[in-house]
Amino acid sequence: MSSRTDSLVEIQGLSKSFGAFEAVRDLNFSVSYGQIFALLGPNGAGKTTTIRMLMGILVPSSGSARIDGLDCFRDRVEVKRRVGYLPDEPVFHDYLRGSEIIRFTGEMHGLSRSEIEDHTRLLVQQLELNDALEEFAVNYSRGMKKKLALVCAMVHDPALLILDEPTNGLDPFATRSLHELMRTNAAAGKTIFFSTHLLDQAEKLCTQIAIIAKGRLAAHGTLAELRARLTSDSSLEEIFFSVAGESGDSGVTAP
Amino acid sequence: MNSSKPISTARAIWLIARLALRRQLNMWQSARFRRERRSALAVPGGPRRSGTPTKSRGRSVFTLFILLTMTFNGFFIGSNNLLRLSRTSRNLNVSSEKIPISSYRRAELIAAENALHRVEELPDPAQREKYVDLWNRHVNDVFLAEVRREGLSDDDERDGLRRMHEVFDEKGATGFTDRVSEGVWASRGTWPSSAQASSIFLRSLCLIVFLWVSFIVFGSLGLNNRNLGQIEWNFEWLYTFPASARALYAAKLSVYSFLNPVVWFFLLPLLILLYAAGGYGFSAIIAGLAVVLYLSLLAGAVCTILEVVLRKFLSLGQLKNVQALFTVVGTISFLLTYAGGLSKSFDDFLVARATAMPEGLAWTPFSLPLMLGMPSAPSAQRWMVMALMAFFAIGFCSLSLVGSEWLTRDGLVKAGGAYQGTRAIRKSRLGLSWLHGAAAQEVLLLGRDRNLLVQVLIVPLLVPVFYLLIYSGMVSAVSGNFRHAAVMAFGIGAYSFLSSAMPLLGREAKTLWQLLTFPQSLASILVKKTMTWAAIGLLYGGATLLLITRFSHNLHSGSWGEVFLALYGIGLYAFIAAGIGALATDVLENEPRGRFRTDMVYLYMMLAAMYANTIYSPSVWTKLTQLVLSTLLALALWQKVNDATPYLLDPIAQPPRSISLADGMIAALAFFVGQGLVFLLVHAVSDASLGAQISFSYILAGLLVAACALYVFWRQHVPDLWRKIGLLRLRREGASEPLVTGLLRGVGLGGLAGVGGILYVRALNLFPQGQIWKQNAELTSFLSRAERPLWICILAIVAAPIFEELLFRGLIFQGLRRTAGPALAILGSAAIFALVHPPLSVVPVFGLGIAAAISFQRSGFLLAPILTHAVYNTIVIVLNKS
Repeated sequence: MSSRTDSLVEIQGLSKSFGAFEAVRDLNFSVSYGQIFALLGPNGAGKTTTIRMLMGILVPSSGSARIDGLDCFRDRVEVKRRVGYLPDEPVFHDYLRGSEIIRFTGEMHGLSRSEIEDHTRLLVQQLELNDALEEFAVNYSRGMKKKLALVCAMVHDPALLILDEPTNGLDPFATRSLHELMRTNAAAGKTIFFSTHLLDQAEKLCTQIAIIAKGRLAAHGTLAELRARLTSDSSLEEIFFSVAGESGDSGVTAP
Repeated sequence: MNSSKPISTARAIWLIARLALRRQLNMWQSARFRRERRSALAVPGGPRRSGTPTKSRGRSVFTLFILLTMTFNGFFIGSNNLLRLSRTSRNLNVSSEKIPISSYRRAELIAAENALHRVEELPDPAQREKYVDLWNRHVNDVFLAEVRREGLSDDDERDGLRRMHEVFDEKGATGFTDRVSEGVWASRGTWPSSAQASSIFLRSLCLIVFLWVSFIVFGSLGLNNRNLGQIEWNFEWLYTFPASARALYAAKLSVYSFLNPVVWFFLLPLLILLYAAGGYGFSAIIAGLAVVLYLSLLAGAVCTILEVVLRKFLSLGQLKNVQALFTVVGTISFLLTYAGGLSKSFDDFLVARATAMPEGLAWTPFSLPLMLGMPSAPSAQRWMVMALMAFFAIGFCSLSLVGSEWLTRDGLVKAGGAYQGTRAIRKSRLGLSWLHGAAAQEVLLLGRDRNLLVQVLIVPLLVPVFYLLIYSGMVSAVSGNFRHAAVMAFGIGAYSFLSSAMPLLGREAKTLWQLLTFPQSLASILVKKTMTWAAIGLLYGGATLLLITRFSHNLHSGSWGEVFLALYGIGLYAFIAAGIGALATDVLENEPRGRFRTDMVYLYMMLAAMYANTIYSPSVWTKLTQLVLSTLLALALWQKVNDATPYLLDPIAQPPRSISLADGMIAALAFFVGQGLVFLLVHAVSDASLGAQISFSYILAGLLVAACALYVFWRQHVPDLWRKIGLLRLRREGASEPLVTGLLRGVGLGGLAGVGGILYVRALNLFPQGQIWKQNAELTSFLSRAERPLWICILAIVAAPIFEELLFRGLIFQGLRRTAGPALAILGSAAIFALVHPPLSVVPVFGLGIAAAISFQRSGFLLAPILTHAVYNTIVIVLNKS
């Protein structure tokens, strides 16, 4: 486990309820620097709610979430400087071009035009967005919107990337480039926190895992540690099913 | 095995129509109820979503009020329309030798006349002269106010004023009559009896109905369509079902026909009144409904086929332009139908055009129903007309459906995304590279989204241009009187904010996630966007003023005061609009139309109208009061926005309750209104001296308001309540000074303010205006009428300081202080404090306000400013006696 000083993300006793419905209950885990951390869980488990609390969009009912020592809600403006966020379904204004959106994002982070160019040139090339950037966002397919949102999330070179279901809706080529990107960035020292329900992809990529089901933390640790709980060569899928139990889909998504 | 069985076309139409109806009902239900945001409510079954009903009582009361007002308005305007048209068709002219004046002003004139008669009997000539002067000035004010509401040029105003004075000197109040036209409501006699006039009347009504149909058709295609170039996703979805295209188009036709609320509020009353005038009695309501349905069906048929034709034969770019054009045409049509009830010159124009039209005009499909309203029509003609109506209804619908089906027999043409295919490689935009961030984005979006452009930039121009065209005297009036020009400039600016600044948050609802990833608070981003719109509004207002002053020949003089008021008002109201909009938008609502509380639009318009009205007011103090109040309102709104934005996307959590400026302002308002009400009550039932009554009502109102405010705050669990208000000492970090120092400082500041006040009053004696204020004050102030000085002392030294300090320092100052620095809080609370006092004492009371605020700020204990206020009052009143 990581000591207090070198965990970037600290979640302690985090809970969120909407009326009587408890979306997230008493989460406790931390993410160390340079890790690729996967938050796994079935649909409706509370992954998006947790991520929203990390981004300061939702207010925790109790407990705390801290990024780099700063509280995620109270100091959210400072937190945003350190975090790049990729939502599940990015929506953009219809009548803006991709390049304009990227420029706007960079300017709102206080970067100059040339800095934005520098930061994003390589990334745009890797994701093969060059031509599409001059098109209006309304014409983008789902995968292209995700790629655009990813560029926006990385324009200010953040230390932590929070990705909500990043490969949801991407074709195999795009998925592969995204995974490559995640590995390179982690190797360069960034921390990546992503949520997914695609277990095989998570297995290939992540270094630490948390499994959440029906709002509660069901398991937490590296793949090796989780394996140690069951047989020594079980796949993540088997671990998942044994840990998450017969709970399965809770059926209701939090607003 | 395929178990899908074919269904008849009629059944398909029924199912689709039922689905559309269900959907509309669900939308209305979810718009009527609102998400409940209290975390204390525990409802089984999970978090609430849009559509699940939870009641919000406040919303329904205001909405109900607006609905009732609009209904009444619809009937009133319709009736006006009919009466004026009828009069013009008969070529009637109303004249009278008496000058028409509004009824309550006439009552004031009568009172003034009586007072002048009584003054004649005063023994002392100096006193007599003083009072005669006073009352004459009052009469002049009444005339000024009356003459200014007409909308005349400076010369005409002066003439009107002179004439009013002449008539008053000659005949007194009997030379004036109440301005009420011959009857307000249309009745049996409205339809002209002579054949020729009746025919002209009928034809002018036909023209009005044509305008309505034009509005329905072009308005639906232009305004209500999100994007004419795109086929709605739900239509494509229905197309995947095994139902005939005819059924689908029939469903679409019904959607176009029946969902236009403007039609229900304005056209329906007009038709009901028309049929009532035609002798139908209560069945006029049914007749009106049936005719509205008929017209909607025809218009809907036209819309459907027009839409299909346009989509098939025009390219995307052309469709965008056509949609913008339709918006403009639709708006103009609606404005013209409105004009019928307002402008004599438009009525003349309409009747002249109607006279030139052929007699058979009434037999067009759209105007057929009007023939049913003729009181003298033979019943054979009536039956023929109804048969024709049925024929046309069926004919239009069938043609439209068959036509649409035939045109899309090759399949639905997907128009594709907006601007698809345009890959402009031009890197540098039109030199807008100096604009950064949120402002640049707003301007870019404005340039790209043609609908937004039309609504924000063009429609605000249509309204004044329209008024200029229909009122023939208006051009010279506006250009001849600077006040009108200033109000017009303000009006154009404020109107543009309805579609630019108010829906600000609603436009961003889907992309809010991105704004929330930036290291800036959402409120500051919204402020920057509002500034863009404020700049555009100022551009419009400034250009209007410039044009009028440049090109007008009748303008004699302008006033920088009015220019400042108009321009400052535009800038301020941009923020008020954006603030109201931000608070009235529910970003979590998925349905775009349900997102925004449209009744808040009327609140904004009322506020803007009140501001515009003060530009006409002759008194400087009214203008100053409005200025200060509006600024504080904007600050209070944005304080609430600032509080609410971190919790915007959370369906449950609410900002922690604390004392806001809005609370202070509401409490102050309640205090003064409550004072007046309690005094009326007490005066009616008690025999005690006037001074005692006034003191008692003041104290009672103060106690009530203070108790209510504290109770409300306590119920809402405002943390640290007593300390915040100052009833307990504020614990301060570091060395806190002893209580006595704070109190002594309070007394010292009070003395300073008191001395300043005395000096001011002495200095005022040197100015004639000051003398007038003093006389007015003596006349109206209870200080001179009350007998027992004891009550005055209690009021002034004990009661007034306590309650006023609680309100203005405890609530308003602390509310301001929460988000503004000490300087702004001191000035703001002192300004509003000063303005609730009579003009004579505004300046010294402003000084007192500053002194009290400083002593509260430094000591943190309410007793200090109370002492300040008490000392000031003692000094001023003691010296006033001598």
